[in-house]
Amino acid sequence: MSHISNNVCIRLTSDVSSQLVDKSIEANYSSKDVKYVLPGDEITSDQTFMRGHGTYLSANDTDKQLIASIAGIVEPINRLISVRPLRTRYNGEIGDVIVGRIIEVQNKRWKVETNSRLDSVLQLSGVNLPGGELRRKTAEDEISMRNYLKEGDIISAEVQNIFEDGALGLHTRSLKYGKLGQGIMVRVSPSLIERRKNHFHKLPIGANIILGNNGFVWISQTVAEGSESGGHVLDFSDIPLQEREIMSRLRNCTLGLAKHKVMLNDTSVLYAFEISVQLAYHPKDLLMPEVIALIAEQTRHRLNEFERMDVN
Amino acid sequence: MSLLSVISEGERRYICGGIDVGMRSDGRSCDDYQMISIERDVTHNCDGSAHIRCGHNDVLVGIKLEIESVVQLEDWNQCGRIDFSADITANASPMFEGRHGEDITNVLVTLFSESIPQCLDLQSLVVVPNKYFWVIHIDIVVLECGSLPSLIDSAAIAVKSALFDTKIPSVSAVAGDSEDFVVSDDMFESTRLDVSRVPLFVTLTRISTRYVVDVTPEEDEASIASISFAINSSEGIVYMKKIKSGSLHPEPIQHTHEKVQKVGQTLNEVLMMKLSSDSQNKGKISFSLN
Repeated sequence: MSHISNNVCIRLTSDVSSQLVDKSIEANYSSKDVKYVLPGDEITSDQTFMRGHGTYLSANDTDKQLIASIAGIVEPINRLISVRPLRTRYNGEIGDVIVGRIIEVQNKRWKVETNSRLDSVLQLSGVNLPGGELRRKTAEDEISMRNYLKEGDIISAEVQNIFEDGALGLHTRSLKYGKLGQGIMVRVSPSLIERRKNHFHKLPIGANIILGNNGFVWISQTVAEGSESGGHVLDFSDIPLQEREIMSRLRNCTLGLAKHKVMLNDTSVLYAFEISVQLAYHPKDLLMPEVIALIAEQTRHRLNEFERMDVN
Repeated sequence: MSLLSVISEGERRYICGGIDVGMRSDGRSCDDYQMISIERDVTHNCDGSAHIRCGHNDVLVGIKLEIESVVQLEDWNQCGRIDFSADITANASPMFEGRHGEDITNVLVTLFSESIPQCLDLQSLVVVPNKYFWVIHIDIVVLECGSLPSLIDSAAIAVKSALFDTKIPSVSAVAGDSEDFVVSDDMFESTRLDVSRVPLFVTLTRISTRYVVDVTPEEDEASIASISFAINSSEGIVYMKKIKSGSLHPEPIQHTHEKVQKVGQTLNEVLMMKLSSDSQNKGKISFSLN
């Protein structure tokens, strides 16, 4: 199939199994009662349903049907039918936890990239000062904005409000939010991150993961309890090889699950990690498509079992 | 040269620390390439073509042949010509719209036109002596660009695969006329180029204390500079050029020669083996985006 020497792996595109994509959709389709639609598919002819996002009424006067306008999953909520898109930019809700990258430093605010339609805004009044002191921001604070956050820095924050134009207003007014230190950033689709109570997970395997609602996932080393400083004190000490291996494995598992459209939460990521350790794969083996397909399938299987036990 | 314009201090420290101990962010060692997937004969209106994917890089190369007549006999050096052109599409990123991608395409064209023509037998491209010769137009289309150093390596693999795939129509002279010729329409009556000496590129990027192969965009942001080596199986390193504007100490570069040769030989061997094994036409293989 593919020739793997020590460092180089070349394979023909025709060798890569084309069934990999079909399996994941098939698995998703059979595991739950999800209805996939494509633009133009009829959802229902029943006129009593209200139209939500992603749907429209057909133009026929005789027999009006509810038709999907985007590719996605039908979401019926009581009498409202909407279609949730499979692939979309991040649509923020108030209270979401996001991970973002600073792209601009402006007058009394920062512009943050969060994979949304517009850049998100972090205002100077929305950040904590060093040491957690509470006072009005002075002119000196405005000038020294760049000392705290500059272009390229990664932060975790919460969505405080949504502006009229749809841009998100962020804040880091809690010690658990703020600038992030050493770690790996992974980008996945926002639709794969479930809305949960907690997005900061300290995994028992020895790493921390922040699953931002906007699809940005931050993997870092385990932080000691109570050492959260709001991002003003960062740890730049050397990270040992074992921890790096754990973080690399976690990164590859996350990307692999995302590629196979498995919902990301602390459970699924943990299962994928454990399965990859059980099957004795080196982190770099997890970059191979057939390996990651196997792990995604087993993770899905294990998640289904867990759900069935839950129901019972 | 990527979608990422800058990374955070924490990411930079993590990447540099990882490379110092030989464990990169995705678990690879400093000498590992990501998986490379190749597809030959994708564009049927080209005489040779190849499509390569490696990490975040996606390159399509098409080769077309043209017959040119000699203009000035004294200036002509008795051989055919190879002409490179590269284009980076705005599909890869809006920042490549218009002329903004020229930084990248100029690097590709310069590197290849300075290293590859000398490794091909251009004299075999003469059709009618002192009159007509083949011109090989090699067009590189970059569909997705991760980092420039890894793009160079991927594009070189694509160029070599496309040259391997190129079918030169056989030419027969018209009886009685020593200057006129007929190009055969039969697609089975064609010759192939000898690509055994065509080099592949291995670009080493200096990050912290080591030289690293096949960098991701984040690693490229944390790097100082890169050196591109062109290596072929018979002669070893045939060409070398520094990319980016950081400063490099010459001594560590000398130490990397052996590693570069080894990686380059492996790449050449594996690629030739894969290309030869694909020679049997299994039917039309269509262009897929997955």
